[in-house]
Amino acid sequence: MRPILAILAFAPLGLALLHPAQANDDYSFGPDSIAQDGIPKGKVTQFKWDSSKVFEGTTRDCWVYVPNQYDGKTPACVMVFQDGGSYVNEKGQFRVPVVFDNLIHRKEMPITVGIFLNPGDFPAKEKGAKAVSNRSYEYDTPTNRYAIFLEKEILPEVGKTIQLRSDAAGRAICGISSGGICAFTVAWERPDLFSKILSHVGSFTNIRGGDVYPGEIRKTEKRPIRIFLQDGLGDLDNLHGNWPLANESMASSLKFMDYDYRLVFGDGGHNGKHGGVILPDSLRWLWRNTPPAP
Amino acid sequence: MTRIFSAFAMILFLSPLASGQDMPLSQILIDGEGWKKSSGKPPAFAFAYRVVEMRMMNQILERETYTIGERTFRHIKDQGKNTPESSKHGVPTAGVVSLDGGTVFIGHETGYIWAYQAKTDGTLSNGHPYCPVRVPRGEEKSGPDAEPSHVSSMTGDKDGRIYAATPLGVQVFDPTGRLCGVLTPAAPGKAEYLTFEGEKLTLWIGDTKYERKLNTSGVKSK
Repeated sequence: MRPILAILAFAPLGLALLHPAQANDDYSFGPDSIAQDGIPKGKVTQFKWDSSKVFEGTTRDCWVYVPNQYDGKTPACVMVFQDGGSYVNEKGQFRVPVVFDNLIHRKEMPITVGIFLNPGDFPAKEKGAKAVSNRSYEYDTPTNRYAIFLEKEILPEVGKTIQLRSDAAGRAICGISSGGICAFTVAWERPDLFSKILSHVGSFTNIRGGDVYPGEIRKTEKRPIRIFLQDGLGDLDNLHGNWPLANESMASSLKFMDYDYRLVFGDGGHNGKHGGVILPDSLRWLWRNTPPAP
Repeated sequence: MTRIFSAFAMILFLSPLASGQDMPLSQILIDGEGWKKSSGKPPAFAFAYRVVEMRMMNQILERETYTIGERTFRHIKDQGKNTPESSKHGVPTAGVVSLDGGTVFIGHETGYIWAYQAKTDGTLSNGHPYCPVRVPRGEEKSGPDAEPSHVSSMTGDKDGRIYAATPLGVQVFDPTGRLCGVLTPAAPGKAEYLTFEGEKLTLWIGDTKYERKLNTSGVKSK
């Protein structure tokens, strides 16, 4: 291709990445994100976790979704969601329980228990004071700490009453923004615990050193993980980095190392509108060909 | 100027591949070949380090001695310069000699793998930080040289690559000291006796031997 034609061909993408477009975000839910008559509904229960040893002193709200098809004996697949309150809300941007109901009923994803965790807060010590959020520390720090929190505290707690699969092939983890890089960190650090990652507008930027991953992926033997990245051309560009470029960089490294990955770009900003609308397709891709429990 | 020249000479003195050629892990990894348990006896201990005080011309000097396989190397602390590794990076823990015998790579508990020029009489000089060992994130750091690298064993291949066993897995460096990549750990635990048996990279974790076939082979020991 002649140089001038190449410049003209790629200029729009370059301009979009350098100068984020005004986000349209005019996405509409499909039928898989809407409760359907005749589809068995799962059950959502809530609990509070305030006895963490990994994040000592924090308290957090948690929810568990159990599909109607769970028989009480066969270990179910697991999917953990950071910022769980947003994902479990059946009228929110993701509506995970509704999507799970629809996809599980049609066998387009396996019978899966959803575990929805809000980030920890340090409760206010005095009347009138505000709680201190531990979200960035828990989600943005690229270490194995959050994985240990899930392994040692949350999964055993939920596992007391629900049979959960213990193999990585039967476990996925999902998050938005800092929750997205958190999902990647968990599976990257512990591919023996989780093998499937779903990231929405993931913060693969230098909030707390998370920009290390593109380089690290290229110089690490391939791990048994599958990654779905969603971002928008209108996403953030600030002191921590450029989100669209960061997600492109992640995808480029994943491609270099021949990972099973997808990167889907919309035109939205730093929110869950696009990710929520494509959630059914994302889950179908993520959970495809899941082997039975060993 | 001497240091710059020495470092430059060191790079040229290495394997013929030390021209900056990229050496991604894909060059040595074989699809479907991972770590497998094996059997056998651990090799004879391949690395030893000690420090001896010597009196010379009314000065007390420290002489470091590195034994790597069949060869012994000595490094004299030059008053105020070339501080012994033990005082900077923790005790030296492993070493390997370059293909041409002219460079010695020393791994430590912390910090970089260092490289020294080696004369035929075993004298080491012009030590420099050389291979940036990847360290587990979240570990305490008090400076780049203090990062806990925990190199426990080292070996080399016929193409001049340097292999270092660490808690993150075996880390592979090209002859110019650049990280090629980190191999998946064979199993949890400290890896020791890293070496090649033909085309198989082998190591021991506790009482268990692990091996994996690579698209390269070790250097024939002299």
